[in-house]
Amino acid sequence: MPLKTPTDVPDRAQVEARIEQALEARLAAAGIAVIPASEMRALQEKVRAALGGYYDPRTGDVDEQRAKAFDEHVDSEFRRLHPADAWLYSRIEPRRAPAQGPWVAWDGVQESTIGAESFGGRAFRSPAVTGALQALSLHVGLLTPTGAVLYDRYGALQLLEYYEESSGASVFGLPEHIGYVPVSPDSILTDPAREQRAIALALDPLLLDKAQQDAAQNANKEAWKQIKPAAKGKRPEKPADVDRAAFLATYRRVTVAAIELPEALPNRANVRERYAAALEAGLARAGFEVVPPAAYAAVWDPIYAASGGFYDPMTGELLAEKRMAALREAFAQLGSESPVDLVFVPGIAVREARIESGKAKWDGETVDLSKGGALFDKSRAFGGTVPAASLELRAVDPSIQEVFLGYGGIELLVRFKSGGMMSQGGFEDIPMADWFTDPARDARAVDRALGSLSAAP
Amino acid sequence: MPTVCQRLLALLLLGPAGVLAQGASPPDGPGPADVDARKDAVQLRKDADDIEKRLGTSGLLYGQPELDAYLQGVADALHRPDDPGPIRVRVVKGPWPNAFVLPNGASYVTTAMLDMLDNEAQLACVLGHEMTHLVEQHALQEMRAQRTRQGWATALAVLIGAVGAYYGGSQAGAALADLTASAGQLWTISAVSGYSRDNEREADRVGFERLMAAGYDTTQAPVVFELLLARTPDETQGVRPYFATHPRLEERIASFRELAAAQAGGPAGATHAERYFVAIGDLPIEQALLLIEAEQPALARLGIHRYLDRHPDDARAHFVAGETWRAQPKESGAIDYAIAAYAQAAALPGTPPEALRNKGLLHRERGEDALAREAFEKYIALDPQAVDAGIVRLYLQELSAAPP
Repeated sequence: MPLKTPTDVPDRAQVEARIEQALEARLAAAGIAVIPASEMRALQEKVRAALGGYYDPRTGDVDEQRAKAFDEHVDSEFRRLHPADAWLYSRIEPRRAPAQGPWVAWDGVQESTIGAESFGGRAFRSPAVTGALQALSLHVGLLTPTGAVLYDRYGALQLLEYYEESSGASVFGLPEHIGYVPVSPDSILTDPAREQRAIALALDPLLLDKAQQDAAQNANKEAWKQIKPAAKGKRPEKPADVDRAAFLATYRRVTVAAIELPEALPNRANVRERYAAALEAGLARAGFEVVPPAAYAAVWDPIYAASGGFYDPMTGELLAEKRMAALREAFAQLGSESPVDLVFVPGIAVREARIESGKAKWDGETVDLSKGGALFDKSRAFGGTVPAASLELRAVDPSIQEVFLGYGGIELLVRFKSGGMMSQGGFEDIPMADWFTDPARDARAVDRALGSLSAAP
Repeated sequence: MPTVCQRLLALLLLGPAGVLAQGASPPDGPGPADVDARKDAVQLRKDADDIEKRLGTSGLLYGQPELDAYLQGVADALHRPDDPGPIRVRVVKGPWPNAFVLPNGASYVTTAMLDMLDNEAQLACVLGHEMTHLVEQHALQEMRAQRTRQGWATALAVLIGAVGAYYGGSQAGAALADLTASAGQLWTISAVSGYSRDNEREADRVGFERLMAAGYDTTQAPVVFELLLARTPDETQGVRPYFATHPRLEERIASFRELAAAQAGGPAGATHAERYFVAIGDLPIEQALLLIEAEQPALARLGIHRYLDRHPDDARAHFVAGETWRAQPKESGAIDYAIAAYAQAAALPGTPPEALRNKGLLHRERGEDALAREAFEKYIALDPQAVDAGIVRLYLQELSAAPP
């Protein structure tokens, strides 16, 4: 089956072709007759075209019913044309790699949390924290033609970030500042040696018996030792503050679109109303003259309904031109009744909150992970990142140029659990039913998202 | 892992619970054992409330208020005046027969259990047993006795883990992971996977008395465990879907037979079989679909055939029977049986369109083009706006273009 990769992987098509070929070669070398992924890909294209895609054009999310039909028909056609004993699926997936002290270990691989090559570098310059770093792994599985899972395994590919080198404060029992350095985009999935290692880790338990696996590991040991840490990139720079006075002088009169929320959110209507009110109030506090959101909705809703949605049902990607055309139409209609200089478009973004000294920080928000006092606060031993929700606020002018983008932290999407006395604690997901239930956070998130535009101190 | 210093600090400050409590209690107030018992009960209740809340939002509840109300009615009939409070019964989706009660009175019966049972008396046996665990505070006893400390995740897999496999990466699956993360207490092991022998015997005996007092046919009690025995794989298969091994189930069957024999000659109780089957409605069909998703098509077929014995003209049930065969193509004759089941569904009122579509797909996979064409044409006629109508029309074009 064709390899699936995250859409933001650089040179995606090349990566997919290379790894698919490597997987096919590996299986062929083990004496397995392989039907190339290209055969399945061709069938998928045919079925996708006949189905008209399986993404919801309103949200860009997968339409479950259409996706199920897609799978049914692709599977049936493949069984008809290429009777196979089993199907191998493969995906490159983002992972949270557990990190402790100098080491991060995930899916069969152990690397330095700071990207150091030498023992001394690792031992003395790594922050003494427990946490998780973002990583990529190759996920491989074997299915029967009716979809029952026969085998399922991950093989580590690479880290996507490192900790910054330690200041040494923890040696003296002092709190450690945890910084993060992303891997350079030029180093993401560009090392064939890492890919070969990931394929071996993911496939060897399927293809080899224990003795053969041990022999293969020994044979690979030296080659794998030569794999260097991926190059570090630059830390993203904090965007320059917007000159509030200049901005207000140019864009005085504004309005607000309805906030985009996950379809499955149980209290969606209530959250929508709350944020409409919070944004109107926040923008007014910031000094803007605000045309009520209801006036914008009266113009926008019919335009949106007529459009059928702005996402491509075949790929799930945003059709930017289509949305821009709809926004132009909205500005034009507003211009005759309630002309505005800007439309603010809010949404919810899932962001990475960095953990440091028992607190999670992201987009202007800081949250204590544990209610316990410092002496018993297990969360202080953690580093890494956890998912958090932020208000994403974009502003578009009548020429459909985006003139502002800001993020304001709302709440964490996980909670820290201390566990029993001998437990080191950990994180658990907060169910969607418990998201955005605290109205007190709305106004703060708006002010944070406005950033330097906000009049709040 | 906590550092050595952190561990030592914890031991110095916290110490064995009894040492600190002895110093703190007033001379004529509650003793340390009473204080500990109350704290444990409070903690138990808190955990139970948390789990009930999470189950409520997890998507795992079956969500049929009338069926929940029917089960509640049966539980209410078993309630004794001196019970501390009623249990609250709900149906939860699950591939294995099970029932459990949380220490706060929230009680759950899986769809697999309801699919397995034959009448209301058997259901009453299950509920009466669980009510006794609650009334006698067996969860608290187990917690305080600190029975095996094996991972709670293993225990909850007895019931919920299997459902997690069904839901995979869905939101319900994530809710399950969340649920198992919070149920990190010993009593959940017992609640779901079985209490100590003594506690199970007490629940059997007192549950039996409840059954009798409510006027049910007590000869049905051992039948429940016979049904479970037939459905429970032995341990060589590495699965323990209910809380007992074969030897334990056999022991309990013998125990119930003794209890029932002691009542022989007394007034015959009621089974209310018809009322039971009306109440569960088409649950067996939904359960079969769940079992197919959980990669248990043989079990699905067992249930759907029992349903078809009672409802031979249910088109949807015939369709689902076909699905159970389609999920096991390597079984001898499976595809022929699937096609036959779809054909029966197609001949009855209320044909699910998918029966025709899937029949067409199977004929097409076998190269039986004329039969495939016929089935696809009927599918499009029945549901021209089907989500996959475009693909099926493409197949019809290809079949028309193919040389005879």
